[in-house]
Amino acid sequence: MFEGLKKKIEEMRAHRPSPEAVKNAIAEGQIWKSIFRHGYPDTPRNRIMAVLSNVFLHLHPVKARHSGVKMSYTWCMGGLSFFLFLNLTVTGVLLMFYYRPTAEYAYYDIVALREAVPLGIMRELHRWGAHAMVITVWLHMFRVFMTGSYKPPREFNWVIGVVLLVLTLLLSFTGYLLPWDQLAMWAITVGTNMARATPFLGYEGPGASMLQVGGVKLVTGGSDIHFALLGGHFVSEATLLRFYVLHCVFIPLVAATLMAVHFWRVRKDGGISGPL
Amino acid sequence: MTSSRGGQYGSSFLLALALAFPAAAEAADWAGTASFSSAIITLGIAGFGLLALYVAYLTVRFLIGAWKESKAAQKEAAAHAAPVEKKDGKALLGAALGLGSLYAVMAMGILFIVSLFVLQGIGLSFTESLSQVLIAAGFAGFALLFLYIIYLLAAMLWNAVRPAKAAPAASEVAPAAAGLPAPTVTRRSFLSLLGWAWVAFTAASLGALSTVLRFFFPNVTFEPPLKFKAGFPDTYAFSATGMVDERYKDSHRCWIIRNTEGFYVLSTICTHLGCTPNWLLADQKFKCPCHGSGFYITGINFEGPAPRPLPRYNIILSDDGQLQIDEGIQYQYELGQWGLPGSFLDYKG
Ligand code: HEM
Ligand code: FES
Repeated sequence: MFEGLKKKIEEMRAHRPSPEAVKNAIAEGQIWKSIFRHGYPDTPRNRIMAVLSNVFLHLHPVKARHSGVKMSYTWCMGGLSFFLFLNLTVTGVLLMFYYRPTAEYAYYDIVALREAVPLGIMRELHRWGAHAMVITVWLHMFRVFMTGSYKPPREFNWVIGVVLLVLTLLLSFTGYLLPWDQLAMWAITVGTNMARATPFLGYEGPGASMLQVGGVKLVTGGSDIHFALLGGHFVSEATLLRFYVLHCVFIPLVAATLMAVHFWRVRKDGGISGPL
Repeated sequence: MTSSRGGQYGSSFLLALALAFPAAAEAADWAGTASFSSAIITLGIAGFGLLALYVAYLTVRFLIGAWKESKAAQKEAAAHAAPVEKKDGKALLGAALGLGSLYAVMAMGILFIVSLFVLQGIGLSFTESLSQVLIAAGFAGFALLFLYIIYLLAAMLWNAVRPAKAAPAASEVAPAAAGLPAPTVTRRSFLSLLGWAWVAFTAASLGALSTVLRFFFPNVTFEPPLKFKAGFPDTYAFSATGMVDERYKDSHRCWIIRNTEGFYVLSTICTHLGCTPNWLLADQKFKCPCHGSGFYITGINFEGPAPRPLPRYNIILSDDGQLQIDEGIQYQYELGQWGLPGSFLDYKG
């Protein structure tokens, strides 16, 4: 009854291409070639090419030293910091779909993110991820210090690292205001009030009173770094907006750029250091 | 010429500085608000002024040089009275004309924008027009640069097509030996000038960027006014030791305290790091929840990290019989200001 069909299937079976042939057809096709520029990474050369010709992978060295991948040496703390940064970027962008940085809504949007939005854990991932990143960055710095990896030729990467540490703390600080609860308000009040004592730039700081033109003070409560940070004389809705933009756009962009430099330098300085 | 170039640049910078400085000083004076930002703006104006002056100076110098040279060349050609040959500058001519017209179009466009800015700037508020002028100055600087480059191209063109020397053949006698002036624009001097122009361009761009700093200082903040009426004195309860009234705590960050002698106003901003303490009636003290500073009802600190007493604000009785408070005027205990009139309002009920 189905003789014809059976025969047809037999025929197709006999001529079916091997997985190898399919793979080759794909890897030699124009689409693959135009995207990757090299064959399937199953030869040493193609593996190297896979890393070198990819904008994301090329920041990572093609070859790593044995000690560089040993957990007991690096604790993978730098890698974990980066992983957490990626996690915070993704969860943070997701939170931005709900959160509105205004005095009227900010607090209730945060509550709603837990109570009324599916996957309320998203906010927890962001919050706990942030705490974890601060810890891993400190530990990473600690391990770099203990292994003496800050010594030449890596001293410049240490300096970049210090800036990254500051940026990590600033991300943490600016994000802390966004829930707009009592803790947020007063923590930021206390933290930013210290800026009033910045040398020259803060109106209560050393040297600020020296900056005068014709007896008129240049650095006052309305023109100092504290004011610029808050967008006013005290923590208000203007501050919330400023911190939101700093937290979601400015600092992450700067940090991501510096991280690229950081990883690039790890490699240019001879790869991850090894035990002497 | 090359050897003295450094000196020339140096002296022209000094000249421009000398011209720009009084202008800068005046700008600082205009800015009656005399804030940090106006200092930055002043700096920016001074920078652009410098740049514009410098480019203008260079241009004038070159125009004079070119004029002189063309005169000399004409003389020379007349003296030799030989048939005047033209150098073959066709390729150069084409390139220069093409580039020149491109730059000219850009310069025109930029000048147009500049005039728009300047026209628009008039009639705006002071700080606004100040930054408009600043931006206009930046554009004007760029336009000048472009014009200058056009001029350089023209000079190159002139060198290419100006009357050549008469016989003997050019290759045999060096220009100096023939008594001809050295060409005004050589490849070397052109590139060096282009370098300077580029430096100036970068400086102007950075100057323009610096005005972004001003952006962070809004002209208006939506904060409660410092001076306000606080109602009639008789609406405040009092006792011998004093009663703390919290009705303006949230909106104006102050406590109004009345005792049998009268009124005084305390700031609610903790002198440690700015939290708002709570008035604890039973303990008769202000207690800060942040790090535990404590203040007596007088405002004097007695525990915790607060380094000094809470400041008092100015309080008077206004004509309509209401209390009037001015938080712009502060009285600090440690400066001996609590005895001053206005720090306390005599009022016996
Ligand atoms: C945003 C924070 C940071 C990230 C994401 C990060 C990431 C990394 C990564 C992935 C490595 C490769 C080795 C490893 O995993 O341990 C590394 C190495 C290094 N980091 Fe960081 N880092 C950060 C902050 C810092 C800080 C705060 C310092 C010190 C002040 C620092 C100094 C260094 C140095 C000197 C190396 C080279 C170490 C070696 O060659 O053994 N980094 N970093
Ligand atoms: S801010 Fe009041 S005790 Fe620190």
